Amino acid sequence: MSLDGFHSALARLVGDPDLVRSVRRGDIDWIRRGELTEREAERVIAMANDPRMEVLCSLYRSNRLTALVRTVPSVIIALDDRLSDTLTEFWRERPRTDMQFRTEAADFCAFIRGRYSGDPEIQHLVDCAETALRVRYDDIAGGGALGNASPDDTA
Amino acid sequence: MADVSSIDVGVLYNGELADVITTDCDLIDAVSLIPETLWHESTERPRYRPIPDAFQAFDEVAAAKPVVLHGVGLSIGSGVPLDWEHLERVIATIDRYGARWYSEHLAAFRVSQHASGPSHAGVGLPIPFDVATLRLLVPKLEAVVAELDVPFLLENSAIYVDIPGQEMTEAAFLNRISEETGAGVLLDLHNLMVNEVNLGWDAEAYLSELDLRSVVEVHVAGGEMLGAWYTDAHSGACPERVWNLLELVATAASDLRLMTFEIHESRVPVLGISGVREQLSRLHHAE
Repeated sequence: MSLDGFHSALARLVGDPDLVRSVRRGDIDWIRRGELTEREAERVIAMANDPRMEVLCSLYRSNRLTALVRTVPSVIIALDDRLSDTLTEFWRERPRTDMQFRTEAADFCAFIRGRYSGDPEIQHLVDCAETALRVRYDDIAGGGALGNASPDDTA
Repeated sequence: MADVSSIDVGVLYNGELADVITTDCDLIDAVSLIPETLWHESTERPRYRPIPDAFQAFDEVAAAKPVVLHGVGLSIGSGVPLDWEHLERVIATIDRYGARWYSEHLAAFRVSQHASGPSHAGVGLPIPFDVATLRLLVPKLEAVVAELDVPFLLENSAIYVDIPGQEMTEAAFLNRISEETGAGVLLDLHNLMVNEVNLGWDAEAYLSELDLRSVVEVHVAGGEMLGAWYTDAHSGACPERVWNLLELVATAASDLRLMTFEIHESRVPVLGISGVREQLSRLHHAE
């Protein structure tokens, strides 16, 4: 019994639809290699193959996107047709560490700064976004209470 | 049988509802607060930083109405050890507002073994309703119950993907937890409906199996479709099915004290304050 291991495997799937698809294709070694019991591994594989897993994947992405739209909208808009691939890359590289919009936004800015280091327009927008984050959160200038996850964002 | 007229009606607090809460005294008897909205949490030290504006705004609400707390941060369903630091933070909030009780979700949010280190799962993950899970969670729940000076409630979740081959139903699992730890139940009727729609649960059978004497609070809400599936989006008015389920529960749950309407703050302008009032008014007439 390794409940944390079971949930960790589920968390990986929920945050990575490509991984779900790969399990559905039979790439299950990473599940079998871990500390999961046979029953837990079977459950994880069955859940990955459950069509409803797509709801959890969508909710995960929706929750994380909401955090960014609410905090750094100008960067999101500027990425335009690069947004989808960039977000996928970001979410894969940086799983959520907490439920706070501020953490998510700061992580995203740092990621974008490195990912688009040769793009002066994006760099400028990230500068502005980071300043806005400091005013909004670090200076505790108001609005912060609305910047946290709600039960909807986590349910 | 409960005296329905003695059951309070409440809302889950968000900034869009502040005026309604402080002005519509007849419609709202109590307010549910997510304590995690009062502080910023960081992976660095200090872990918590209070948000003065948030405290100030809620102080005004709490001066007008009794408060209950509805946490999203304890992750009591995880296999990781109990987060004492977080619990202490919540207890300080209970003390500050004289909260009548504290509830949490029967789900896992924190995982410790993600490939990149400790992380938040981003969504609530289902827990296996097995004896082994019970044995793991009961000591944590006992510790929480012992630490609090107010009742502790667990809320049933919107599950979306159920775990195959579980040893018991969610209702049986909640019954066992209540029996063994003294924790009460926050019965979310919309979550139950979500599971009925997506997973094919029999909601009436669920309510027949659940020991309704342990239900202290009920949540009601609205949802919406996401592709082929129905989600707990807190997006507006409650569907009729939720009202039907409430009728079954309100008169049978002998210790039910509060019925709480949940709506996401971004959806309040869509439903409108008049729409919120209609939902609250309907709760007052639930029986």
